[in-house]
Amino acid sequence: MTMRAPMDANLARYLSPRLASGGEVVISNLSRIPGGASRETWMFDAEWEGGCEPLVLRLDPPASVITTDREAEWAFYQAFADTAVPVPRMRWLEPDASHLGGPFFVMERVTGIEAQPRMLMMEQYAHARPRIATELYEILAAIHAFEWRGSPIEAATACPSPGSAWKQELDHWEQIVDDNELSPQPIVRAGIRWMRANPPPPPARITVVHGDFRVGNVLCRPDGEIASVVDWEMAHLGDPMEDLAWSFNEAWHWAKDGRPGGVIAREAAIAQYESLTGKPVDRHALQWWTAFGDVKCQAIWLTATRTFHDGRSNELMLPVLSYTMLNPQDQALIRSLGRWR
Amino acid sequence: MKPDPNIVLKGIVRTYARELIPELDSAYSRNSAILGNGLLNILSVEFERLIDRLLEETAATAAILRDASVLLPDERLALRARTAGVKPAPANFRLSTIQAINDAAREMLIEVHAAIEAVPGPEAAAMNDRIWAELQASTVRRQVR
Repeated sequence: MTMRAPMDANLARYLSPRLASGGEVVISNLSRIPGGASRETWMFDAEWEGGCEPLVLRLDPPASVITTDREAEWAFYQAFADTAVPVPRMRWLEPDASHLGGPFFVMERVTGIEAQPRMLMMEQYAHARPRIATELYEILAAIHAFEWRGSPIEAATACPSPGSAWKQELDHWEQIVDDNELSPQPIVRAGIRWMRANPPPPPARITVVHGDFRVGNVLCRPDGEIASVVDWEMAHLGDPMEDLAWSFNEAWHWAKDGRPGGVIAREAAIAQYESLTGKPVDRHALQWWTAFGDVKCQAIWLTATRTFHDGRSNELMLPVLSYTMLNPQDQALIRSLGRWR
Repeated sequence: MKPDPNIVLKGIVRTYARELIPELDSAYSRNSAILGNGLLNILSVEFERLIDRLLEETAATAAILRDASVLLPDERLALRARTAGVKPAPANFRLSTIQAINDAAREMLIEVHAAIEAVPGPEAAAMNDRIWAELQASTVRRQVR
């Protein structure tokens, strides 16, 4: 594709002093990964005299479906290095857009994984799905048990009070709806009114919230081992119920079998999470955060719609999201509110 | 003009799927082409039904606004709801005109729905249920099949 030649050369130039002490670095197997509606994702191998490293580039596009803090995302990856939460090793964070046309970071590429999460629905992975399900919620519990104070996260992100965590998130995503809707959203607005009138109980403690925790954002080996948790761009501190509810969002029910990600039934996942954390899941909190997840998803789909509509990106994934996600998400929100008849 | 645009769009989808997409060699290009083709397929359906769907939805919303107006304690809001509930005749049948009328009706519905939620009594509760039923019906009308 037309961008490949300059991307090759620019990456080689950037990596030369960092990997080869100024010597030649050759970029091979460069390919852009389809999807990645928020950041461009490129895979490549960097080879130099005496070494070769498989790497991933995450490059900020001119416009995106979500605006996120790259340095905060970097801090979450750094904080979870060498913990029970597997993450790829971060290599370089580069805010200077002059190198590749936008700020970016480079991380190690996890090899030996199934790169397309929907492939996990295929029969050949049936034996692996129970392990994925088990590890998924073990990792989620580990994220929520993580002591973030004293880690790079503490300096990179604000900490809400337990009583204000829901409001901080709802205010943030309602503003994104306000900024991006092209047509009135009566279902989203009714959902937001319900949420403001029926806030969730405060969490026992403020924890790390991955912000996009689901089967599509873990990298699995063929035997079901989760090798890495990725896409921390919406990570923040808040109520852990946000992640649990988000993992159940209907937007990830690709398998059409009622199981998020096609790997585990909601009640089984809740039971496992309760067992791992030793605390019962408050059902009102879970309902609230489930409805919140629908509103947050709508905010993301509306941003995709606006970004394409305004000509700030020509990524065809964006109008596909508009046409395929907005309406089902409205239906999911009606169900989350207990209003579907 | 014939063939109808939705038929032409479907023809493009078939040609791309059979002849062009298999020739693309990078995963990213192939994926973009598949997404574009999927969009053309959706648009071929939307082209045929969009005006009808918007008119039906606007009419259903207008009827709710009319009926809800008598339950609203705020007289100014009630008057605006009644006015919006008069079945609007579009100045023309351009999509942008029909869409603007639909947007105005649904904007008014948001305001009226919030007000109805605050009104006590069984009549307002029934109206709330009716609004939710219409919101659900609107998602069924919009469903991409």
